[in-house]
Amino acid sequence: MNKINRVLVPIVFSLVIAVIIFASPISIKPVEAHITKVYGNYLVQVGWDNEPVYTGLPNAAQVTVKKGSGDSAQPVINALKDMQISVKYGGVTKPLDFLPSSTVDGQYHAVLIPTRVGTYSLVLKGNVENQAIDDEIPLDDVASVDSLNFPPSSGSSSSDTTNMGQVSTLINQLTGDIEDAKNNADAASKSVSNVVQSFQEVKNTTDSLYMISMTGIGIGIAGIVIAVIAITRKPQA
Amino acid sequence: MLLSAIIASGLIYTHPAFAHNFGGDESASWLAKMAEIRTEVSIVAKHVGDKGAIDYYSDALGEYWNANDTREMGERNTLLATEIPSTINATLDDAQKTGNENVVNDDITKLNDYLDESIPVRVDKDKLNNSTVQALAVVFVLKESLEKYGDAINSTVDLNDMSQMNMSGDHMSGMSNGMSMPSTIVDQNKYENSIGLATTAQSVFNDLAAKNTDKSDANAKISTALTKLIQDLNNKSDASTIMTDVHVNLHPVLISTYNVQEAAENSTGYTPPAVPEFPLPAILIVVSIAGVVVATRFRPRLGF
Repeated sequence: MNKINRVLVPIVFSLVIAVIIFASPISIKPVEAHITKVYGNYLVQVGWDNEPVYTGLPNAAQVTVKKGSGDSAQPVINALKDMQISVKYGGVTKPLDFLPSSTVDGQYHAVLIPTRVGTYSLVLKGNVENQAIDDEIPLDDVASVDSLNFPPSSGSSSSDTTNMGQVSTLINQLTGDIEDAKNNADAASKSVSNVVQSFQEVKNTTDSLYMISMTGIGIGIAGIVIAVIAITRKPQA
Repeated sequence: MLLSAIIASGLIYTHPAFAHNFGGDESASWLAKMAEIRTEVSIVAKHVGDKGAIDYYSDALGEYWNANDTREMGERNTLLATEIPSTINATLDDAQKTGNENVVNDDITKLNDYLDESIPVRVDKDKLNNSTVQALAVVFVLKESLEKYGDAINSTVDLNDMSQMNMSGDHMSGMSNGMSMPSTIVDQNKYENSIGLATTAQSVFNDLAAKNTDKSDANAKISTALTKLIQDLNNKSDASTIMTDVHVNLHPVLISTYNVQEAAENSTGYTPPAVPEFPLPAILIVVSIAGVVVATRFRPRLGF
């Protein structure tokens, strides 16, 4: 019995330690939380470039497309040529422009700064080669960047409320200013358009005047020639 | 003198009054470059195992994608900067050494995919959707086609230089009877290449026209002009006929429809000089003087 205990106790102890380490919040998390979906003979993997994801920090949605299965799957080059991909947050969507990766064939990135905490997803519509895809795939949740801040950038909750009120006032003022600026820009744009049109009219008129003046000069020279001939010619008897 | 003046005046009105100077637009150049590389490799696929032809297209591709292109692409995407030239080389190697058309076609498919990927990397989205930039790309591809055709027929005039149309003695005869003697082809590869590039220009234009259905009348004219150009290239027409197809029938409509000249100015900050081919006012002066001289000299005979 003691012999069994001597063997079992270290094993159980080791297992308990291993469980504690892996379950611990300080354990190393997987670098990526990408989701792979299969469509016919194609694998489409989506995720964020940098995970975990925080609000306000530059990131990028990442899509990787491969053909085949398992380790033998081959990257599909120019995979997104017939594919429209949008990012969705709640009821809001935005089309994304994906560019090919600088390092991995068949991988594409669309730069994005998530501004809100919560769940984002990619909406895929189109074809990869001849495989039709119409799906929505969730991305890893976005956390608040506040969890990384130290020391906290704001004070108590009451001062937060005060700050929010000030921010709201500022936003209203800025909105008014932007509206005014937009109106001024529209007016300026119209003025420029008018100036360009006027300039074109002046150019056309100038061209016409140039032609007329040169013709006049020609006729004038001809007149001088006639005059010279008339003066130098001897009167006929 | 009067007669020559009248003839010269007549010549002025047979084609537009201003030469076309196209400036460089980097986005349009890139679009044209991609179309040109696609054209060259597609012709390579027809010459698998033909060392002479492949050597020619190797040189041509070396012009279209050089170390500078690799460097510029490397600034934005290192993978494409590596893969595009290496796939071009692989295509040429397989065409020459393996002689296997399927392998070459696989190389070409892969290369075309990389070229497609390079476009949004190199060309900004707003320019990519700009019809003027796309029209300028058509012009650039046509320019290459004319250059190749000029070499193919060993032409003494630069087919891309509109001003040399006036110097071409056979221009008038070509214009007047609507047909010309076939040219002698001295370089078959360049001849085939010129037709390939013109066909590509037509294809690029067709894509452009499909996105600009509001310009259907002008698009129809341009399409007809491109068809005529390709037909004349196939018929081995003389230089002046080809120049007339491009500089008289095609460019003016393309310029006015897609505002090509302004695009060149905006992209480079350089205003192409509008060079009159012949000063019309000078002709009028000559005609005026000649008229007075004739009237004075033959006044008794004319009865005044």
